[in-house]
Amino acid sequence: MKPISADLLQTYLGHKLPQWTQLAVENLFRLPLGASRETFRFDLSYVDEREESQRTGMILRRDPPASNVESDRAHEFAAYQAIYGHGIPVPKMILLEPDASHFDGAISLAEDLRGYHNSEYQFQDPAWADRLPHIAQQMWSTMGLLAAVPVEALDMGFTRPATVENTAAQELASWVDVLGRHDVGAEPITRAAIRALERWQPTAQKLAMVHGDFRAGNFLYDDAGDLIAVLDWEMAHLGDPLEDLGWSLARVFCFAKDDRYCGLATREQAVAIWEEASGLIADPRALHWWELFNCIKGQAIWNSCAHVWQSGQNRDVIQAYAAWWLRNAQDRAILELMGKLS
Amino acid sequence: MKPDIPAVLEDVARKLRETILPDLKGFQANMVGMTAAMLDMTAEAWNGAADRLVQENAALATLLAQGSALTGDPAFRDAAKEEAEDLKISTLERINDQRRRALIALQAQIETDQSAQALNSAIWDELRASTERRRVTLANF
Repeated sequence: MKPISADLLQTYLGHKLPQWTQLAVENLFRLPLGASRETFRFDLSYVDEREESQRTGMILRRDPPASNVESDRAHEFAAYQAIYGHGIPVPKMILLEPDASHFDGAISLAEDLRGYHNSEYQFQDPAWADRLPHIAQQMWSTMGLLAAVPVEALDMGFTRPATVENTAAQELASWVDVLGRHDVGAEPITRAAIRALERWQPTAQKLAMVHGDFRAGNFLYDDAGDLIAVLDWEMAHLGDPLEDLGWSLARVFCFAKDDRYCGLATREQAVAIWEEASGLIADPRALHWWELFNCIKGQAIWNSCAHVWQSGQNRDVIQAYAAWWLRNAQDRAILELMGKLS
Repeated sequence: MKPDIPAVLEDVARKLRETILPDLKGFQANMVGMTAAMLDMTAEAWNGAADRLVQENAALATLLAQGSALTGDPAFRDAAKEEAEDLKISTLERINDQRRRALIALQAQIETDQSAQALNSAIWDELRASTERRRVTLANF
């Protein structure tokens, strides 16, 4: 892919935003965020329609030619726009450029909320220990509030339709398909879990906008531990809100390597916070199904990392790293959920 | 190779973390940090890789033979017929993949059959053991 330079971006924005003059792009650099998209930060200065000088921080996200997540700029842009203004804090979207010819990949621009943290590893720093209960409260209550947002009020046209009866089977079929198209070797444990999931699926209590990757590392928080914004909506879709809760209870995201999920709270604490905020019940059998489902989704993503690297479609180090680091842990998580670990 | 490969990889990883990483930031720092972690993972896997695969391939052959005896289908035993001509990791992994694919088919066929639960338990025992053999110390779980 061609490098994104300040000159290239400045020229593009000059054509795209003719109402702004004296555009200047400065301090452009790539951020270490995620395996699925390239993320850049830059400063944009310009003179606006009222002849006033402005300077603002911007985030640019670019689709790579191949990714571990089969989503695109248009999908995530629409997801952010759908939830914006509905009580879940997210950055404001500025611009979508779906034409890949400008930057060797579609891009989106969003406001850059600076001065905050988003590190899942910071929670293991002893200096943050006394703030973890508050951050846990913030994270799972925001997730619960997302579950409570009336989905009828949102523009969900960017995602496939779903019903309370079919969302579980539909999501499972979708991720099994991803696994099949990114085969990097036989996986008896994953396949046994898929067969178990296919024997029964829960009916959702309601349909909600599911974030799809709601965990530590995907939200901004301030020094007090207050949640500032939820990021990374590229897997957002219409579905069962228990899917998000189950994803946040994944063993592979136990960053403290203990029983605190997302490095923040026990399972019981997380579920209690979510239930109170959402007004929903986390039925144990249904939640267990979604936790096991999320192991399949996770393995499909980690296998996709391995596949895009192995096939030469994307040689970012993180693709190989994520596959090495996560695939075995995901198998162990499946064994635990299926009662086969010991 | 001398010096020993795992020791070299671990030392290079440590040097990357201690001398290069502190001078970097953002994407570059993250990339070097991941590279160091991958060297550590390689060092961990290196010495035992062939042994792990030989153990696993033997265990899979036994299970597939039991599967053929139980089901009367020779295809399971035949899937484990090929013996490794050498101990190259690529050879052992190819045979391992063939046998694991056959194991998937076998378990799918017998797992709901009450009369086959002893074999199903044996399959789970081996899957648990193989997961432990492949375990990555750096992983969260």
